[in-house]
Amino acid sequence: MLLDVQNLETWYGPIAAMKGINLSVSKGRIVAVMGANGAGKTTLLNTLAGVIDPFKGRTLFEGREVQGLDADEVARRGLVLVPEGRQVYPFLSVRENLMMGAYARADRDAVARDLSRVQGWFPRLRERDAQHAGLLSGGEQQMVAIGRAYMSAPKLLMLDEPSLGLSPILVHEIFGIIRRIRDETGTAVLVVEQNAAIALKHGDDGYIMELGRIVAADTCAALSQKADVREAYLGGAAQGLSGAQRWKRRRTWR
Amino acid sequence: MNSAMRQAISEPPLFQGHDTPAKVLRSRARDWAARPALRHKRRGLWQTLTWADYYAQARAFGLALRDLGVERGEVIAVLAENRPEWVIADMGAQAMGMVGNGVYPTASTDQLHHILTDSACRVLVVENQEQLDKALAVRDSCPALVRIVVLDREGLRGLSDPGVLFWNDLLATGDALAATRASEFEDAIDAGRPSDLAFLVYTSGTTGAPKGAMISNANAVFQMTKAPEYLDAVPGDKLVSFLPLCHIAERMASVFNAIALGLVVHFPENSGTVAQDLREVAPHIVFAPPRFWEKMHSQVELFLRDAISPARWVYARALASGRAGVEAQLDGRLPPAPGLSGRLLQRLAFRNIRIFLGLQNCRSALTGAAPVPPDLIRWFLSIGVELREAFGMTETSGFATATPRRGIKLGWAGLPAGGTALRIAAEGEIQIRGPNVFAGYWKNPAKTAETLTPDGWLCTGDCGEISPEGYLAIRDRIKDIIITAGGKNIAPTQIESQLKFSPYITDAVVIGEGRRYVTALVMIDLEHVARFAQDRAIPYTDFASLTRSGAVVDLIRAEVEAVNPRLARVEQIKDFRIIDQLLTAEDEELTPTMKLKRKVIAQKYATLIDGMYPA
Repeated sequence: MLLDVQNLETWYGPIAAMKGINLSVSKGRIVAVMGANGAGKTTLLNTLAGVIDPFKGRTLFEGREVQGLDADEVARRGLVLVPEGRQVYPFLSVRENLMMGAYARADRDAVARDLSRVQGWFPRLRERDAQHAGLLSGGEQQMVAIGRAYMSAPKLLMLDEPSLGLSPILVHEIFGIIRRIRDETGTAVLVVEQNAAIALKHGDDGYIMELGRIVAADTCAALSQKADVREAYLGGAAQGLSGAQRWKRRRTWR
Repeated sequence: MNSAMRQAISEPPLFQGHDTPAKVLRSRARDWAARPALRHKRRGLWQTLTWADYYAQARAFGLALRDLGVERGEVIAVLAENRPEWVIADMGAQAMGMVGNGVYPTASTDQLHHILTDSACRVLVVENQEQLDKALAVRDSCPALVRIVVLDREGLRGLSDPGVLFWNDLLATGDALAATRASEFEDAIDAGRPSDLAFLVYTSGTTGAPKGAMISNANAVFQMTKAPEYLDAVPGDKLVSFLPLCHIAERMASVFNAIALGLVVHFPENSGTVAQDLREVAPHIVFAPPRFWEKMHSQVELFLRDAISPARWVYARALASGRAGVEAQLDGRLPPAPGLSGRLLQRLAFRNIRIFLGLQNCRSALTGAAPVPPDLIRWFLSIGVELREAFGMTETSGFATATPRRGIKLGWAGLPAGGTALRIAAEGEIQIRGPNVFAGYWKNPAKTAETLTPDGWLCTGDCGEISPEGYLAIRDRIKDIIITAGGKNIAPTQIESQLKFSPYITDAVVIGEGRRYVTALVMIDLEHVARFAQDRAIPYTDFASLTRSGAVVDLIRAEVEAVNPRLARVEQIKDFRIIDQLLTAEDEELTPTMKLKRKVIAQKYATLIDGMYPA
């Protein structure tokens, strides 16, 4: 097992953002964490990446504890976060942005190979090599952010809402490339998504979070068969006889 | 006609000179016009209706019903969570001589359909869009139903359907009618007879379809006369209405006791805010099943587990020092006077706990509807709340026996109401006769004849005994008694109630009919078990994985083994399984009051059960 998260608990003041999260990522798997706003998904990724220290619980990465380490140390171990909203350096060129990902690497040959790989996955980035990243479209910036993360040679790539603000076609393209990265390099992926339809389609294993708890865990294929998942996340809700349905059924995630 | 009814007609019970609840309501509206009657929390603020408002709205609703063509003796029903409109609709219909009825908000469309067709319901009041959808799904096959009345407009502003009305519009129609035809309402109240039906209660029915128990005006008035006997209340005392109003106990408490005693009934914002609302209202009267009191107890226990150590020390010491007093109280002796430090400790710990639970003003705390674990009563006594056990059922129109104040006998459910009689018949069955015995099942003479003997005794279906002092003890439902392969009789409910005292166990079903030994299926309390797992860093993801975790199985085993020494050898639970699905009231495994249904569970989990009995 690559990543093993045990009983993570995080508080923002008096509010528990995560109330005991357990999940695991095996080598070469794409794992999707889904949930509505405020479920604690971003808190989870930020905690794994070392941006936030957990109040309780352990994170084992390749069998070693990483919770409480500084973010740069976590990244050096191969646990790399693509933050929500891209956060590229707007006044650096595309290539400089990508190379920032390799800042801590000394193996020049491998870096060069990885750069050409990234440019192979994202031909657009090769076209815009010298352009300021701030002038790129949202989709292109997302490509930069993923490429930059890949440049730091991750063993586990963590993506926070890669679909945010992108057109449906671009979302499919981005997820297609995420799969290609996994297929070609064996990099495991942990992706947090509100767009459950796309995450369930491309992911191998899935977790559903609600109010800081995991409420369902299974393979993505099995999850997308569950009635509650279909209704809550895949738009399968039956229309009420009196018009648009405004009430919520109690969910048990069976 | 059975003799209980005959008796009710020959000498009808009177409450302050009135022979129907509607007549009492009318005199309350005159005497207490400006005093508060109903309060409802909306968007965080309590809205008050006075007795005059209550009466005026009931009148508007009643006249509007007549305008829709509903006649005396016809049934109307409410499908909503507890709220003022529920009781207003109920009393408005009763005043017009119509019959009130309630449907559980968790009812499925099939259940709703059965109740609407069986009772030939004319008008159905629904809470909101969710409930309206159920009603619309079945209305075409309910020929008697003329209108559906919706309380909440949210999401329905665009709705135009001649069969659907909104509460406010209907009430406005009724108000306009009242301007010219108020006397019709007064006349209808005057025309009410003690033998007329007041309302129906559909019993949840673990076997077969639900049956409508008929409660007459005389039944309701008799129970009103008894309210001051078991409740210590003065007009203006507060009550929180949080159990389902379709259930006889809450119906009596929030509608009839409130009218009889002048209680201010508080309706919580929603079912999730009950604990907070209780704390805020600090009611004088609380009736709830043991499960509710157990939750209060485990809430305090778990809260203190996380508290700072001085607080835990004070609590432990205060409990220990209170225990002697409790035992003395239970033996009927005078409790030993606690020393200064003891008094200080108890005040320090228990006053805060009572405030935390909202019980600081509570003078009448009652429980019933399920066996009560003795330790639960002990605990409440030690924190200074006299939790008294009562017994009643739909067919006795509410309470049949109640423990008098300062008369607790652990394991006994109190004395019969004055004017009623108790006896133990064949098979140990408890039978009751008196003006509280209901008028039979709606359009079901066969079932009525099974339940009421020709000379007016109600066959309760429970077995039990009567002490020399006249106290009643309930052992179990006769049909639930388990006979093991060894021929031993076992009362499962008693064992289950001991299991349920654990904060980690919500409910349990004891198995053993025709088997070599006794086992149990256990439903865990998600909140408390999840917290246990998190505190001990036990990994789990979803509900099923939590139930399979070795540490959780060990936790439940320890809880089961803690109960076993208190049981006879043949009753001891040799093995158990945890139900690995999160169940809700919508599931067929649970009753609307969140109890496991024995028969359904035994069928659905047959493989799990067989696994506990290797060949």
